[in-house]
Amino acid sequence: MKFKSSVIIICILFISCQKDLELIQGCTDKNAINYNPLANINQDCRYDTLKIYQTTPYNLIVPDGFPDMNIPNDNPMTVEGVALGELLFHDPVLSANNTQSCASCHINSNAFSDPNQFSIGIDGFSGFRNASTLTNVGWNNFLNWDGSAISLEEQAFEPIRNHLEMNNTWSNVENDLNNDSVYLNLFRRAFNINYIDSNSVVKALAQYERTLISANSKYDQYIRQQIQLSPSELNGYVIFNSEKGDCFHCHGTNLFMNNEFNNNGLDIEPFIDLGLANITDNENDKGKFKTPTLRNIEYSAPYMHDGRFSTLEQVVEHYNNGGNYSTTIDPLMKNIGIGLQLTNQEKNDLIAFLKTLSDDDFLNR
Amino acid sequence: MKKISILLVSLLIFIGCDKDEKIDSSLKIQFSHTIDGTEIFSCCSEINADSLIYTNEAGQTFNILTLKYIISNIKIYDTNNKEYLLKEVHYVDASETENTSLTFNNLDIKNYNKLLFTFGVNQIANIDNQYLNENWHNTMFWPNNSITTQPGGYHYMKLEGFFDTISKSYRCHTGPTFGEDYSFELELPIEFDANQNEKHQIVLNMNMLNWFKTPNNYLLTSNGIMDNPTAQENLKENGLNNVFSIQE
Repeated sequence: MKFKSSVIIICILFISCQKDLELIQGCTDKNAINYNPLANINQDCRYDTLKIYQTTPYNLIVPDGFPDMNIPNDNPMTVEGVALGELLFHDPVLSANNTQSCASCHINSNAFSDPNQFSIGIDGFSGFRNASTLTNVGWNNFLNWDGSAISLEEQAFEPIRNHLEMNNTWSNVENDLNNDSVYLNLFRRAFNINYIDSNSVVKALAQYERTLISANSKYDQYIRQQIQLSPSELNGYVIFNSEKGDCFHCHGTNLFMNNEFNNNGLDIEPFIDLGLANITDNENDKGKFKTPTLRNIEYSAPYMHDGRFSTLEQVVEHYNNGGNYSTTIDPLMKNIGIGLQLTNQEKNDLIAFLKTLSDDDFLNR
Repeated sequence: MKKISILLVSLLIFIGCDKDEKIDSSLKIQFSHTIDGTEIFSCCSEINADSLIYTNEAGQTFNILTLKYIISNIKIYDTNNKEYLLKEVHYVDASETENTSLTFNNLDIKNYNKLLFTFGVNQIANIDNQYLNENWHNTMFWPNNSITTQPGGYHYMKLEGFFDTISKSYRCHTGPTFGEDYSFELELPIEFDANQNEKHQIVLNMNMLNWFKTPNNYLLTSNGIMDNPTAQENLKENGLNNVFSIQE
């Protein structure tokens, strides 16, 4: 009896330990955004049974006064994943002819945006919207001017296969990366996989993008009571955060954005670019675009979804004149066609404050 | 050995039989926002800037494109005047169905006769970044660096739309102004007996037209009111008067 019991217990222990290795996400997850059935061949999608690499959790420091960042459960940040994402972000291997990387249109010194009105893709074609800043992009609930993506992972799929941008295919990218022993090694160490698929690529890119945090501007130092702002900057701050300038309703909090879509009176109808309505197919969303952060605004020119304004002075003038009426214009646009009626000094003060949002550490990282 | 086994089995049976007798009685509070009995964001209506479909007490035609507000310290009282805090703070975007109702389960089995809440957030809780990780933090943020909007914290309400002519917008943004707290506490009679397994519902209705009349005839304006104590006070007094009601 005693022997029999021991056998049963050992059997139970054995069964519970003989757990199948989990299949990696992406290769085998048929619900993955870019499921690649080829990746299942020869059981290549199983974890490397010879060696499981331990990853190091990435210590993401959320600045004071910032909300927690929303990080997907299936893409926890690791030191290895972030480093790999940074490498990929700057590697032209992602484009069809190996000439453009993500960093080609999201340039550090321009607050990770493009100083050109429209970015030029690998074949010389121009896009139709300005490349957005990636400043604090990890806090965005929506990506792209029209909100066409709701996660950094989802967003990263698009530029690579967009004909106006990198004009590549994900099959090509996977082939190129899987034929590169350095990348194979890095992906294995970051994700414990031995086949690189598109999902792992976008996960790495997203991990890196979540580290693009700007929170050491002159404004931040003022809030931390480390420095004082000039009288002009302080007056601009009051204009910004009061009914006078009323900037804060769309660009408030430490994120300097509202994570919403607004029609700020740029155009009359019919709109050339429908913006959010392209995604929602809702008449009431026509002409609405994602409100961007104003952090590092001094360096992220040109401005608006179509890069129509090249200077901050032009932007302020737009609001000072009240913009154009359309049926979806935001009620926050007060005195449409009349505007804020700021004096020249007030406009200068407002711009002086906006420039306190520049963060040299971020721009030179 | 046999004794121990019997004891263990008895203990297991005893634990298994020690069933929680808690009765699951729930209360659902539905937030409704009406003009002439009709929900302002009813399904499928397409309201945009040029559809001025309502008229207020002053004769101004207007529409409502945005109604977002915070309601806090939501409490109910039983007939012995014992207080039960249901929720500390709740954000309502009237155009989104997911936050226009609240359900509270496992109520104490009592007779309840009073609902009490604060419209907005009182000055004790209305502090910068107090609700940093709430998804409405950005939407309801109220700045503190201007003397007009001190001490900062959060808007109580954002009521926005167009009026008079299609290109004139209004923004009834209520909140602390010039250091004054304009949030207000309101007590409304309710009546339900939390009997076993009963689901109870009350509708807390906001009569939108009443924001603009009695005791104060409020005129919509294209100027912002975050720096306007008179407008804040007038809206507060109207809100306290007869904007809210309970509909069973």
